[in-house]
Amino acid sequence: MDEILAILNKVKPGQDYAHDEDLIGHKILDSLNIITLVFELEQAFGISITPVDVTPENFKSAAAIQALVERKENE
Amino acid sequence: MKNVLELLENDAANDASHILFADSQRQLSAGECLEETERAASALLSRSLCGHGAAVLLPRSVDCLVAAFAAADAGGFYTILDEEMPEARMQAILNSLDPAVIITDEAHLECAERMLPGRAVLLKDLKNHDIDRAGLDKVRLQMAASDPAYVLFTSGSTGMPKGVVVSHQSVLAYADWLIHAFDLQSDDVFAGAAPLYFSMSVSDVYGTLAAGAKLYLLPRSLFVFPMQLMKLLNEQQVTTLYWVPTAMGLMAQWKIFDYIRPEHLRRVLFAGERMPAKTLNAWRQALPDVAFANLFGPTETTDICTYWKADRPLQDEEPVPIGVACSGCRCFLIKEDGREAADGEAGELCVGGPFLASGYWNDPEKTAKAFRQNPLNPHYPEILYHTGDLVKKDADGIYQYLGRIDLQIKRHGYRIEPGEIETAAENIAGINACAAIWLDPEQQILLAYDGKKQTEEELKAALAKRLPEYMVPDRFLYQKALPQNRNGKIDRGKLAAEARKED
Repeated sequence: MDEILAILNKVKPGQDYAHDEDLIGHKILDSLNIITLVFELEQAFGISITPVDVTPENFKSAAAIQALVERKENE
Repeated sequence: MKNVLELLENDAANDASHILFADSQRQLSAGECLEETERAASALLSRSLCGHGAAVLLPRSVDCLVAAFAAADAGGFYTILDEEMPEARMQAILNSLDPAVIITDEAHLECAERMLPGRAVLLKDLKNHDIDRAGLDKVRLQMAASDPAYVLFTSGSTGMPKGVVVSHQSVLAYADWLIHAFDLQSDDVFAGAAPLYFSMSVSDVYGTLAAGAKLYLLPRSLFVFPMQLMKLLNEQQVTTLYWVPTAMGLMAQWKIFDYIRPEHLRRVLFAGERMPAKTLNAWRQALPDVAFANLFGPTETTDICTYWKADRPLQDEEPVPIGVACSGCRCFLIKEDGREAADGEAGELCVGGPFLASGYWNDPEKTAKAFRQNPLNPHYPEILYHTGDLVKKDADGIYQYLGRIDLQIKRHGYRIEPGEIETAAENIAGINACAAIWLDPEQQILLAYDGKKQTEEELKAALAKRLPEYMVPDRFLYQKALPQNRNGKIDRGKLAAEARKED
């Protein structure tokens, strides 16, 4: 989880990623942030995230992103 | 035709049930749109809008369009405000515009009342008014085609946004060019992404009206989720996109067309900033049956003055041409000495013809500077808008964009004057002098400053109160004293290099 938080803070600093449960609704992550974030996640975890995975459910919180990464690692 | 509303009236007469406008909440047929417009316009008649504006403070929606049309129908003009811009900037615009009314909804009523006491009206109430046919006919009879249809505020170098005044006749001439240049038909569907306070939306809205087509206002948030976006384009049977290159670049980066294809797409138009050929090539390869065109122009030429239909392949490194003058427009490339640039030579793009704006609101000085006599014509008055864009003609007579004469920035399609950022930053306590600089390869705005050193968070927070989000700098560079070049001006090149050194 710490690694996810670190990546989020790198992509867009200064947000409360540990507690925010609605990163999309609160307009924290925009289209450019998401594509940068996906790139960083792919690099850090050696996974492949496709546009099909880029849904509000998968990116609504740090925990949701963590779950997505774990699913991708097990694929 | 003399009023843009005649386009809507024609659509309603041709097929009242045809859906013209839709957003994620509701859709309006031509007949419904006209009725709502006429009801609201009738309610506005008592406000005597002639020669005055109506400010529109509404979310990007079908309703926002109805409010704008109602102002034009009532003999006035409209200014659509960015509801997300800081209140101080909105107040500055409203002080200069001094509109007769501000049309809004319940969510924004308090803010509207605070900024313009006694002048806020709810669109909902306006739409309940009975249609006053005689009253509407009377203002139509009195108005002239040269009356303003809207005043669109864009970034101003002195810190005060500039209001570009665009007449009915300019919008009508432009919309007529647009539908003929791209053969827009009544079965075409636009997927509009541009904010309605931004000149690209003029093509979406009036192209739709002139062709009797349909405009679906895409929720901006959908660009975060490319699959959902593409599914929506298919659901809405979208045939026409007019997007900024940034949005197209995102889709290319996602390789979205490997996963889903926009099945109904016929043409993709783009404008607002430089298009990388690499992005265009990715789209062209994936969608070989779709027509692509680069549109180029400032708010001062309604939306566009030159265009290039992608009729030949480009190398990834090649610049995407800006093409040729729109039919009916006259373009000249004029050198600093006032002479016309020869082929291959760089000159300032100067534009004449029917798309020209009337000038800047409340600003005769800036108007006189930018809208002035064609130096190549000593015989009679011929006003050209001097764009500030440096352009050359290539060997085939096609215009190629070279850059700006001044420091203006284009970011994600938004036009930004560094002076507006600098004015806002200079008002932050502790900042002595500053320079806002566009870092092109990084696609970032840098603010270099001297005075008291502050944290990035402090600076961002202070600037967000004064500037729209798209103008807030991405990076900050503190200097003990800003370096100067030999002319005593701030050395922007040196500051950009300093910032890169810090990486």
